[in-house]
This record gives sequence, structure tokens and C-alpha cells, in this order.
Amino acid sequence: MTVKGFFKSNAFKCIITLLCVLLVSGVLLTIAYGFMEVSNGERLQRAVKKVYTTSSPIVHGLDEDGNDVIISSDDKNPKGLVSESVTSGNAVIISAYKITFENSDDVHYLVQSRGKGGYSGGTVTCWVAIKVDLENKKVLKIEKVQIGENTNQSFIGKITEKMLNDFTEDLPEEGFTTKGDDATVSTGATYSSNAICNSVNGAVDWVRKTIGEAE
Amino acid sequence: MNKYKKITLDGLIFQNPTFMLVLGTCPTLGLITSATSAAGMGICVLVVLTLSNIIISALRKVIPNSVRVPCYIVVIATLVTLVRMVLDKFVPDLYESLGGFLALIVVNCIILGRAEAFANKHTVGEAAVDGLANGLGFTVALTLMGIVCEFLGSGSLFGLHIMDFTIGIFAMPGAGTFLVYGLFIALFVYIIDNFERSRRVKANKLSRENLLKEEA
Repeated sequence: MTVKGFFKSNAFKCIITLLCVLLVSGVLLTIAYGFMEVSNGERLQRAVKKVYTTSSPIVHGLDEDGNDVIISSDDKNPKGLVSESVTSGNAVIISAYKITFENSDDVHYLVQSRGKGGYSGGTVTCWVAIKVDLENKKVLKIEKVQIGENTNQSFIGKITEKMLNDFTEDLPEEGFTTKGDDATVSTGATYSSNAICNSVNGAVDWVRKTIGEAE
Repeated sequence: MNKYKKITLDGLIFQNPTFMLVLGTCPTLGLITSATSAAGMGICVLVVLTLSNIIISALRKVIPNSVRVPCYIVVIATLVTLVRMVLDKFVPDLYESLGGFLALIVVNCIILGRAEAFANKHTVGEAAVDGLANGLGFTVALTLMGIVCEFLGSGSLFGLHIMDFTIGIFAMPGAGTFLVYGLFIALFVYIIDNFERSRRVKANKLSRENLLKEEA
């Protein structure tokens, strides 16, 4: 086939058509991405808003030098108190942030903790908001537990709001357990309850170590 | 019958992609445990299907026959990515609840099927009506099944708690959703069959009466 023949052939037409379609799609998606990009800071703010539905929290993280900074939704890559996942008991701490409030002196630690021991070796990831007294280096109470993701937990829908609220009522020294304690067991979802307890216990232990209570 | 009316009725009822053609079963079985997710998925498919039908119909004389399927895939994938971006930005809760099924719209047989079977042979207007009708048929089917599964599995409707009694198998994708899907297909086919039969009987009766009149 001659060069002229190639340019007149159906194969050339096919290549050009495909390239045109790809080019137009690529340009369109690039422009759309520019308008609709969701930054990590915005994702973090969304997760925080799900936990603190009524109040307006201020999220603190760390800057490059390890100093306290306020994280806004414009931050492309916000850095929390945990630079990489750390193990805490039967849980893995994925991220953690310090939370303060405009109209109150309360200080919370918001910890994203993945609890092990779920059904079929699965895990449940929870956001655990823990109220602390930084002056006296003491964990005061669990403010809220919010379930995030899970793996293999078919009965996660059976975890009731009441079960999650029970975590906020008392803070046992030995940690929460699913054995013989009806308050933290959700019927039909014992393994998932176990993973949630591990997640909460891991988060509380990590905060205790971080603020110096456990020392 | 009006051309557009026929296309609409085919997409909605007589060629309903979910109940009559049994297409798009993967998102159907995976998402009907929640009426909100089911309706959300249906609307996403409706948007992608209508837009892809319009674009493919408009480009049908430009795209060479031998590369039509790769071109369709690129168009559909672009639309799905756009829908994902919009949902992630403006409706993050729905985006999270649809999960991987949203990206899987790219390989949904309803969309590629309508592009190949209808859009590349018809005008833009007809393709748009076909996309809307099939998308609406899919959305209504998914939402109806989602309502039943959510009611039985979680005792709620569109997230609103209604009763405490629940049946576990309807709360997760699997046996329960399969059962509901099968029962809905049976019920839909039964209703359509009865409708067609009564229409045939009526037509036969009318032709017999005409014959008798002619003989008299």
C-alpha cells in the first residue's frame, strides 16, 4: 500500500475517528475535573460534619514542621495527627484530628479507627469522637461513634443507633467488650459488634497514649 | 400507532429492560436492598442512557462501522465519569451508597445494547425518546423492587423507619433480592400476558363480528 493509499483507506479513517473521540472526551473530562474536583480537605470536612451534625467544629492537623494548623476544605492534602496507620490493640488507627469549637472550650480527638475481629475476618471502620481534658491529661468520655466502612459485615445493618449511643454513656477502664455485656451487643451482629468494640477501644487507647494519660 | 408512543411503550413496558429483557441484573441485584440507592442508580442510568443515545445517534454517519463499539464505549465511559464527578461533588451520600456499581454503568448491557440496537439506526429524536423510556423503565423497576426489599429487610421506606419486624435475607444483596427480582418478573410477565391475551381476544371478536356482518 502506498502512503497516499493509506491516507485514503478505511483504516486511516478509523484511526482518526477513534483519536478524535478520545481527544474530545479527554478535553471534556479535564475541564469537568477542574470544576468538580473534590479535595481531600473537603472529604475530611464532609466526614467531620457527619459526626458533628449540630455543632460547627474546627479541625486541627499538623503542618510540615509538626505545628498545629487548622484544616480547611480547600486543603489539597491535609495532614492529621497520624502520618501513617498505627496499630492500637485490635484496631488500626488510620487518621486522627484534634477538634475545637467556636463557642466552647471543649477539645475532642476525632479518630478513624479500623476494628478487627468482625465476621469472616472482616473489619469495621469507625469515626470515634473522644472528649479530653488536655490540662489534666485525661480522657473524659466518648462523644460519638459513627460507623464508616466495613468489609464482609453482612449484618452491619443490624447495628442500632442505641448500641452506638451506649458507648457514650460510660467509659470502662478495661475497655468495651461484647462478652456478657448486653449494652454493646447487637442481636444477630455479634461479630460486627465485636469489631466495633475493638475499633472504639483502639481509638481510646491511642488517645490515652497521645495525651499522656497512659504513661 | 404514533412512532414515539410505540418507542415509549416498548421501553417502559413491552420491552422493559429489567423485567422483559432481564438486562442490567448486576446493579439490580446489588442495589435493591435500599429504595434510595435503587432510585439513584436508575436516575444515573437514565441520564447516561439518554445522553449516550443522543450522541451515538448524532455521530452514526461519522463513525466507521468497524470501530463503532470502541467509540460507543469511549462515549459511555466519558458520560459515566462525568456523572460520577457530579455525584461526588454534589450528592456525596448517594455517590458512597452506589459504590462500585456506578463505575460499572460503563459495561451495563442496557446502555451498550440500546446504542447498538437502536441509537445507531435511528434519528436523534427517536434515540432520545428510546433512552428516556428505557431509562425510566429501569428506574421504575429498580425503585419498586427497592421499596419491597427495604420494607421487608430494614422495616423502612426511603430511610424512614416504619416497623421493627424485619427479615434478614432482604437486607443484603443475595438470596432475598434474587427472590424479589424473580417474583417481580413473574408478576410483570403475567400481567403483560393477560393484557396481550385480552387484546387478542378483543381483536378476534371484532374480526368475527365484521365477518358475520359481511356474510349477512
